[in-house]
Amino acid sequence: MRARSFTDNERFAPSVRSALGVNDFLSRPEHTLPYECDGSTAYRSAPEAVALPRTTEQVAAVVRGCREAGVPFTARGAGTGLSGGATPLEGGVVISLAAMNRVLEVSARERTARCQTGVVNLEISRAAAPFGLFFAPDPSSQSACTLGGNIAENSGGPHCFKLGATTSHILSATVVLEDGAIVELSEDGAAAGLDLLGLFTGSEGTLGIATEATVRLLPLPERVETLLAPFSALVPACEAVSRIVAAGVVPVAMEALDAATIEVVEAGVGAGYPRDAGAVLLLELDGAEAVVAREKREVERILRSSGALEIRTAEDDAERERLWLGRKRAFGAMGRISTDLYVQDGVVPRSRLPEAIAEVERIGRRHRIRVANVFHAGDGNLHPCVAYDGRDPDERKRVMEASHEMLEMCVRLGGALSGEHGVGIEKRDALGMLFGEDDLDAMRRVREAWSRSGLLNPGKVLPLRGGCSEAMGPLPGPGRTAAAVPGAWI
Amino acid sequence: MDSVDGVDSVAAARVERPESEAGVIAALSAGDVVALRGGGTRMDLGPPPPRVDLLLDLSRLSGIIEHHRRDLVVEAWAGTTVADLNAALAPAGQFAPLDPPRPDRATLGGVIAAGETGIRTVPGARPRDLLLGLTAILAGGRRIRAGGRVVKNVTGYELTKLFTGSLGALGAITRVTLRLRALPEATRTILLALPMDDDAGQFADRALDGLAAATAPAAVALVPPGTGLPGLPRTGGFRLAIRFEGLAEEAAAPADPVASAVGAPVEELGEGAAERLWAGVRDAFPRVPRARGELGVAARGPAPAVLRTAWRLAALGPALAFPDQRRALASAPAAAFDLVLAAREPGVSFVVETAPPGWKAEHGTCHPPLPGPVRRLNARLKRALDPEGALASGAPGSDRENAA
Ligand SMILES: Cc1cc2nc3c(=O)[nH]c(=O)nc-3n(C[C@H](O)[C@H](O)[C@H](O)COP(=O)(O)OP(=O)(O)OC[C@H]3O[C@@H](n4cnc5c(N)ncnc54)[C@H](O)[C@@H]3O)c2cc1C
Repeated sequence: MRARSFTDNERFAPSVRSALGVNDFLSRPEHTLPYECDGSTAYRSAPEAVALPRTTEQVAAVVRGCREAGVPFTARGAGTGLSGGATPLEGGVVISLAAMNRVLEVSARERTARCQTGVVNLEISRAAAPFGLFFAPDPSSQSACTLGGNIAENSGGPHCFKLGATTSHILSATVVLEDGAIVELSEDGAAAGLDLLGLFTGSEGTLGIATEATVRLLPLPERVETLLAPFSALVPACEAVSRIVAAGVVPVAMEALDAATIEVVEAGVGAGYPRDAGAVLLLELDGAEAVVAREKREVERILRSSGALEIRTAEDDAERERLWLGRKRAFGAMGRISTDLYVQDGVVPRSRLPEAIAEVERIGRRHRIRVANVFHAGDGNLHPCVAYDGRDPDERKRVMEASHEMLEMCVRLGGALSGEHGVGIEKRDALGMLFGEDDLDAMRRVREAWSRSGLLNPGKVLPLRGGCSEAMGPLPGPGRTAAAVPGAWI
Repeated sequence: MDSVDGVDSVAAARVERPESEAGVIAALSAGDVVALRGGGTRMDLGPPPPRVDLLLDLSRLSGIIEHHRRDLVVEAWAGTTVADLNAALAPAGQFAPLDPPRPDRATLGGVIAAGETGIRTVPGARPRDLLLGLTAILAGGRRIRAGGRVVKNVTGYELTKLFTGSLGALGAITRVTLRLRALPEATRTILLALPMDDDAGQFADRALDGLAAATAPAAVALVPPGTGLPGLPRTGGFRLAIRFEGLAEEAAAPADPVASAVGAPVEELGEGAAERLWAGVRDAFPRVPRARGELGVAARGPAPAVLRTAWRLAALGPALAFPDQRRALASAPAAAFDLVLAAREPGVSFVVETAPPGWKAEHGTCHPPLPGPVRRLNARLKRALDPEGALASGAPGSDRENAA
């Protein structure tokens, strides 16, 4: 169902236009087309208009205008999402937070920063650095993605292994509700009402639009050690990860890359990973000098006994950055060597990583597809990346089937359908693989308690009523890949 | 005796103690107005329910369902006490870093429903950080699952967060899945007697400088002289207690920077003294027994403002502040409520956790009151999961005070 076009709505357009600056309202198709999708380009649907508000009040005015006109609206940060969250599925208005991109205040004593939500993730740590502080969530897309997108997706990143995902680092948020009311949701604890902020974080833009947030900052560690451990294959590397977790040692990050990823990364950015390795683990330890030294000894012992071919320690910041560059640009590098790329996101218990990875390899072989793995191993968060040719319908079908089997495997091993990319459109109809009808019904009622009109980012997260087909959304068709999103070559 | 301080309506209720989930389902299907109870240690949190037919005690639903040892994850029945859980996990070298008051009585379901932040530093040790998944029975008897058993999960809405701090208003939590930690190899506690400060601002700055100078503390508490915890003198200024734990190297974090930041010498506590001190901090609130006419107040907000508030509240009665948690606890005579309110800095919110019978109905629990749209969201979420209002225990939004 497509909502009626708002541009011919006389009540709406003038009131919204007048709430915004002259250049902050786009309605010509050539201007609105870039907003037709996010990083998952399989789902496209152009908005009728794009609003670029500069204040919370302007966001509220646009929301009220949409409500009055009965037009759907969808918030957008940088559009790097990988599950279709920012795609305006039913058209309407995209409310872009791009112009609300400032760090408003850093308080060193409180260790907090107040930011507009359109701020790019990395800018927060940049603003905090002079005070010896940083913002912990570090998605690989952090040089492009926004705080609002991080909150909406409860994004993670390599360092979330030890420090927790976005939800642990947001203290309060100013949110415009579906009726235009402006509320401050905060982490206020028991008896001050329900944890609305906790529920809002990760709600994929379906409960409201965050315009500002106060985030927690952490002190920069005294010492950082970055280790690279090559293995003959990915399975023993995963065994090492499971053993480190079981030993209770907590590196700040534990990432895994397989041979196929190493190959494209080395060809693309030259991170200095050994090209002949079957897999590498990238580990980081941080904290006080003596603590890091001790953890390093423990981790090295486990790595060696699990078959690490060697253990390299970054000598200086330049080498550390180079090692991380390879990890952070891996998706981008893959995008360059194939016409199409599908990045899957699933989770398994950390103890099951070796069998999960072995199964991912078997599924790939069975369906004759090329799978590369680069993932947050410490959290059990898999990212099988499938390079394919979207022009080939048979290959697309095989990729689709393989992806579905991988998710089934995650569920079978006790895991989840998404660790960080969210449900969006992509996995909306697959939720039934994990949750029963009563579970989904509770979620549905919770959503309706926030958003009765159904105008707020419709068609996302929950299976459409009666449409619980346990299937994933369509696979990215021919054309651009996630890594081809402007600004997302990170 | 099933009456609980301040909750008159509960005293009148019939009590059932189901031993299985099926028993909980049956009890919630009968159409009674039901109040839920775990260990009964925080029944007085939140607005008192006007009427209760049945008190459903979940404490017999106890024991570990599965310990996923290599994942540092456990699934347990919600009626398991925190102490029993940790005793069972200890041989595996693991524990759940929850430390509610009276862990020998407090149950996992109760701690989660109360959203009880313990003494450890955040993030990482609150129910909200540790809860990976749960099973709950909704009013009417439907069973739902939320979350899962993996440490990273964004599949669908985070109903686990909604149940955390829900005070039993949304459903009966029957099973919980928690993230665990390795038992610390070593712990160490230092104590500093802060110089007497002239004003609240000076005190707050000093305390926060002390916190900033501590390397990765595991717990930090500020104790005013009048609070009278085991081993602490009742004279002088605030005491700053800091615990380090983890590897031996973590526990050996340097204390000198803290000493020079706060301008006070460091006292190293022995193991026994440290244990007594932290147990005292953990169990200090809610106060047992409570003086007649006493209020228990929790203050939350930006750390400097919370500390300035705590400094003033400490003049009215026992208090504690957890600077990294942006939280303080205090008690004061209900008759001095005007003074309590006057101590509040802008940006700080008060929740009256415990109060004499009838007091909350008259004065409300949240000061300032929750803004209208937030109250309405609370009320709508309550109705979404409990349309008939069959669950009596009340988070704001479920009671008269906030039903507007
Ligand atoms: C190369 C690449 C690497 C990536 N790596 C990671 C990774 O390591 N970890 C990870 O978690 N993700 C990763 N992602 C996914 C993505 O970057 C994150 O989900 C990110 O948080 C999205 O931010 P954004 O600003 O681009 O949001 P968008 O894509 O614009 O929007 C995402 C969702 O948030 C909603 N939204 C946006 N702003 C607001 C707001 N202010 N209020 C309410 N809702 C809002 C939108 O409606 C949408 O539902 C990666 C993506 C790419 C392309």
